Amino acid sequence: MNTTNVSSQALSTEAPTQTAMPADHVHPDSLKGISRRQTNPARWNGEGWDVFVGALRAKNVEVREKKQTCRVYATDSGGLAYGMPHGVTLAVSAEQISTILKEAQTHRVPVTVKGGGLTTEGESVAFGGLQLDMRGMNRVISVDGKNMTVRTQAGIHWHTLAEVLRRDGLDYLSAPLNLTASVGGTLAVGGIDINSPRLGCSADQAVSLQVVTPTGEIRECSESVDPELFERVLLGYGQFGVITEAVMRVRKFTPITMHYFYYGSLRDALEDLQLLVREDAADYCGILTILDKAINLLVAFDSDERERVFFEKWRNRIRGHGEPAFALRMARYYCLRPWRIGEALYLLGRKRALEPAFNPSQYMENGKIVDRAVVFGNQVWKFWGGKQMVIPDLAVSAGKYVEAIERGNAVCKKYFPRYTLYCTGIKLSGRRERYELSCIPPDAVDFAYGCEFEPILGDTVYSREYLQAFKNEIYDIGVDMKTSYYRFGGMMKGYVRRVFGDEPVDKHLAMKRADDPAMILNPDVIF
Amino acid sequence: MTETGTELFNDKIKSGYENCTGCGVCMLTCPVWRQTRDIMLTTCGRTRALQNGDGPQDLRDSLTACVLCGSCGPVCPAGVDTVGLTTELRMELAEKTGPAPACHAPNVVHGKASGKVFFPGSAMRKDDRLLRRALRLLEPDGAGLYEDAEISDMAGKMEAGIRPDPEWFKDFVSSMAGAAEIIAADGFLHRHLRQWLPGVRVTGLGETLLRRPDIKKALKATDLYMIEARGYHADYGRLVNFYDRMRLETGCRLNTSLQRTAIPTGAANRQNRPGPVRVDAEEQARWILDKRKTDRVVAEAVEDMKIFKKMPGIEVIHVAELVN
Repeated sequence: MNTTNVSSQALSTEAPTQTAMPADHVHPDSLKGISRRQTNPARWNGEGWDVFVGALRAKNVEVREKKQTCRVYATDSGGLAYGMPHGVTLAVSAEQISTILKEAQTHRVPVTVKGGGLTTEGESVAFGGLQLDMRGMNRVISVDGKNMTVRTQAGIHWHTLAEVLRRDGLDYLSAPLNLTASVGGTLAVGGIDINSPRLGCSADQAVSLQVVTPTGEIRECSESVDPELFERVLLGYGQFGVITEAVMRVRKFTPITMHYFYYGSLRDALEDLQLLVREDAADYCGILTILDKAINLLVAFDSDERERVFFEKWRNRIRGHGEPAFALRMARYYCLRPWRIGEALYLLGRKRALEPAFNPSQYMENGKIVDRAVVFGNQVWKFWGGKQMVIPDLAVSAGKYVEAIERGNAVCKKYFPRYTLYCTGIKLSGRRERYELSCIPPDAVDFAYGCEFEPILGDTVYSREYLQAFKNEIYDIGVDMKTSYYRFGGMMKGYVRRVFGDEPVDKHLAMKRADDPAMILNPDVIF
Repeated sequence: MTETGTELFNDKIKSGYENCTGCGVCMLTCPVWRQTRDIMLTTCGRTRALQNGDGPQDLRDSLTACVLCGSCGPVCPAGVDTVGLTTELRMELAEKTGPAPACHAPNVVHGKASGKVFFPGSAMRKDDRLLRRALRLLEPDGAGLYEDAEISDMAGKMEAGIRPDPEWFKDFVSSMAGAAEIIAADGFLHRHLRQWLPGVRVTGLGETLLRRPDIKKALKATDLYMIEARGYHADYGRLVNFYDRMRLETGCRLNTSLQRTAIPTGAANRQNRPGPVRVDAEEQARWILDKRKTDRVVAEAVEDMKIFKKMPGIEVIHVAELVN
């Protein structure tokens, strides 16, 4: 096992000072004068907890306070932020959550909501107060095959939703690659898949929501009913209510055909990805790399007709190679650079491991992959998962994409010997209020583009400061280029004001204060 | 090597929990999770608790809730031996809380097994007609019935967390020296038999019968074929392809999930320790049947047949009843 400590070159040259972080973490000066390092928020002091719990128990709300239970909720998928709730409640109904939030407002007890817990910056970690585990609300309520919608409890995992929909031959539109994410958590932050270039982010498939507001009102909202709340809660980072139920559009389930094109140049691959996204040339597309050497543009199709048109019209316009041609190029490249044999072997080994894992025979039928979301979701955990998930990202408008990703790639190279980039596009659904202060960059038109920068940590133990410094450098690109991020809450919330500017942040802060007077719902995520 | 001196379970098995990343993929296939939505009652909750320093006594409810179907094992990206872990923790729990009950076997001299032997398991032994039918199908292929009552008893106790008596274990292993293949209807035994008798081929009853062309031919596209979950997950890497081929060849449906694990009813669970949570086998059967148009359930496990017979309007048969 290797241990890498913070390197002085890797960390910012700003000298650490004793300046305390301002109480308001999104204050304009929140990151000035302090070292480039985020830390866990202070734990809530527990004042009023017993009375709060007593009030809940009097109303038949179960609160688990055993240490064994609370400890299981100590961190999120990121594994860098650690906290401990005072107690945990398993969500069972909107009425129960309403009771909890009303009492929380009265007793000023923070309530932190957890779905799949796939946050990476501690957004779903409770630093004291009550942890509300939404996974208790994990059932599909009804499937409407005629109107092609599903109504589901919001704590459901995407995988479970898919499992139920599949019995009707249906599928959701778009979900994150990771199927242990919850529907509610995803709608609150965005949700990107390789079909997002065509179908948008997961949040855009919501037709209506049932929401419990921070003051405990249970409200239904949609584009026509209470649209303000609807727009505020979607991509709202859990600041304006708890999503308890969602009605979402669904589609017919189809096995898909996949093709891979290989690039040696990141720029070429990114430009071609943008071409395919812009021209709606594929049903699914994205880039997955091994370092910046083996760059794989993946395209997939729901129908033979779409596949045929792609090969007729678009294949010759993209520069990617088939596997044999690319293998030859790589062989030539490394023959001329024998001192890089280690890298060549790594690429070969990784390819050999990944290829069968992404094409398991039990998921293949007539040359098509069935349940590709399950295959991808599982392999994401197997090949990129770990106790620490370090995945800083950038979400940018079309014109800034190539530069932003090339700069991010250079940061990855500087910090880690092994890493992956995962890039795709996101179709926008017009100009929506929900996009303000969200993963959709303010200057994006029609499409946004994103990239996750994921180091392969392996058995090497990196210090938290080292990983944080890496993330900071990626996030600094966003500040410099005025982009956005898929994830900007939790430990990274100091970036919110820097990247978005004062106006939208002040506007949202005022809305938050009005909707959540005691500021108890999901504290430390954004506000 | 454990305190009992047997090599049934060892520290390597238990140490797997350290690798858990908390991804929660195991919960997606867990029948306990499906019915309770409570992470504390799942493998994921148990491994996280162990990582936090908790012990089996802190996990009593969780350990008793598990039906040991094993569906969490094949999907775990960290490769945690989930069934081994839970079994071992149950044994530790029994040792810490109960009267340290080693499973004393009666003074029975085992018959010497040779060639291909069939362990019908306790549920099938109680159904003489079905047992004879299965034997008629197995005997032409050279398999002989083995008096396995004692082994079934041992399996039940092990499932409840009682370690086998080392003396009995030694006797059993030596009595199996001549066996080339064991066909075991009780899927719980598969992983243990493979561990104890590394040179012996261990297969399930369903798999063995499905290798007969007449059985496979008798399956209809409208059948729902119920794979016995424990044996399937104990040899998932091989059997997932076996059953998938069978599905493609016959057109029948399987009780598999999106993860290609077998959805269990949990009816074979023999854990008899009291606990607050029990998987409702009928609820599992309703979920398996939900929106799956089928007029016949073909089950590998006798325990599953009993549950599906409670479902209205569906014919239920054992795989051994597919041909006369």
